[in-house]
Amino acid sequence: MSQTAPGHAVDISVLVCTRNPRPRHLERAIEALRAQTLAPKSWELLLVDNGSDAPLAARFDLSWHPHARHVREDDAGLVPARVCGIRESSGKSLVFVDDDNVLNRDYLERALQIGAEQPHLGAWGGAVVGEFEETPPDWIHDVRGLLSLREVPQNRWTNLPVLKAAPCGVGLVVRRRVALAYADGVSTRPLRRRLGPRPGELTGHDDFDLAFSACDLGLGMGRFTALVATHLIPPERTDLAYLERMQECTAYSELLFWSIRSKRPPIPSRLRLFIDHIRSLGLSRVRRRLRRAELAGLKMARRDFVQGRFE
Amino acid sequence: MSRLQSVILCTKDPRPHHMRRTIEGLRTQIAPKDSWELILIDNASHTPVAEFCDLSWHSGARVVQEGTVGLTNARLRGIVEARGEILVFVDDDTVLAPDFLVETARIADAWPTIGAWGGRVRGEYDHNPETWVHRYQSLLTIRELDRDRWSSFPTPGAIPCGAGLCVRRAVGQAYLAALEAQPSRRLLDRRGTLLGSCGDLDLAFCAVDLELGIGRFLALEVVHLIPRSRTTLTYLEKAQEWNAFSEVVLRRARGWTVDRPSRARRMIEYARAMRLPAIDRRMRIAWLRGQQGGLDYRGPH
Repeated sequence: MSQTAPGHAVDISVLVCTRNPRPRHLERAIEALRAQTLAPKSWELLLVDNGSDAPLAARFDLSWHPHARHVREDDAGLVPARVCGIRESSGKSLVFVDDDNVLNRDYLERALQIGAEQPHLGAWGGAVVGEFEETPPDWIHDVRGLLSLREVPQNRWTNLPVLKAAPCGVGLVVRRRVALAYADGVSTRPLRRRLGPRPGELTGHDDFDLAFSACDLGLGMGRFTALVATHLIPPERTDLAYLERMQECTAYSELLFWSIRSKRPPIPSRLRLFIDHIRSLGLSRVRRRLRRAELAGLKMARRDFVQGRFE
Repeated sequence: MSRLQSVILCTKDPRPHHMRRTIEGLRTQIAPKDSWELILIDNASHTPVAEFCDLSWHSGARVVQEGTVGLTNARLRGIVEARGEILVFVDDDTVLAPDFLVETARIADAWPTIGAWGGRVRGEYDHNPETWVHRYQSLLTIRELDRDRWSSFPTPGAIPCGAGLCVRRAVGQAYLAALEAQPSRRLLDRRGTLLGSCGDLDLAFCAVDLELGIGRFLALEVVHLIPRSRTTLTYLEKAQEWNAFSEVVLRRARGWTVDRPSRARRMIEYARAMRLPAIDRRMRIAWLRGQQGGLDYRGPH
């Protein structure tokens, strides 16, 4: 396995951050990278092992790629893993891939093309389709956002900090200076590290925090129809109890996210939470449980906000 | 500079001293005269504008008479007459900064994906207004800007207004075609004393219809001249009402979702307005009235 020569800046660094991955999923993710139409000489691959119990370096062979290497970060959490990957990388743009993300064959090529055509963009991504190991329940469509599934009917981009155009973490592409600004930002403001999931936690808003870093620099972010990735979803992730926990964590981290990024975060009043709780009685069973979980997350975030833990 | 720009100046019975400033702003553009043409649309003024406006300093300037009253009609006529690749809309009370056309050309080149754009609009009052007027200065098309803001979809902050609105030719043509197909959209702008005010937004959103972006750029600056009559509470109240009205009508005309507040919600809104100080209360109620008017509006016929 050769290291990227010092001083050699490739176009793209692909960072796969993982901790105790499902071997079959990570293999699929790596196979998809191997099949990329973009010539391997113009990109590097970093597999960041975030303290897996059995080190991945021994188990996953990256020798097929001329610029690939294993990196280990023992500080557990997606944010430290990403920061480590950013510091180790040399690409002009960085593509973040999770251990259950399968990029379309032309993903890197098109990502590069979009970046060249739109120099004002700092962070971009695309559509995410789900591949379920078992047929999911009918209501899964209601929670596709929780599973990072994204439809992109048309290109959408802006340099304004709005979630509507923010790419999610699956195949997220950022320019190097955006990544560096993010890495510096999370080290100086530890609260931002809390946006990322740590072991045992489910989801966070660190993807959006990273994408919004583009806007901090006056650059834009966007979602593009040309970029498509597949998210591999095992049966336990479509379990209602799991999704309830995820909904709760997401609601919490969204409020934390806006508390960090906005002067006027949308902290709900207790009356509002109460009214919404009553209203949830009118929903169907599954929706009610998910809505209740969301309200629980908001309530917890509200409490932490009031107690000054978001400062 | 490669692209021809068409400056479309729409006017109806202008205040002569404002019109002079507007023309002066155009005359002092640093862009070479052969890179832009000037089309003055005289929208049925009582005294033909050509009588007191000297355009002889620009060989590519001409006056066109548009007999049908209404800012939208005047703009449409301007689009038909224009030969440029970029159309720049100027009102008879907007003064472009000297580098406006140069910067517009630069933006057009640097941002091929943006179809409609504008800049920062500063207000210049004929008389110092009372302090509360500044709270409602957006009704006087004053638009502050802290940084470039752009977007491929309508987002507050990135939407250019009519004062110094620049669009690509294709966007102008799309607007022309859209209004031909849906004539009710002609009523979104002021007509005589009616103050409809969303025609410029409708035009800018045609960029979005073409999957192009919209934006506002710091490099572009215009001054909006504001006479004393526009800083009275009565005028601003009326402008507020029309604004709310035409916003709803625009959303409906474009097939966008419109929130229809329940009766209870409306009562709560009115009750809340009652707690505001007198001026804000009147402005708030004007807004609620305009919104309701827009929701109840059943088209021009």
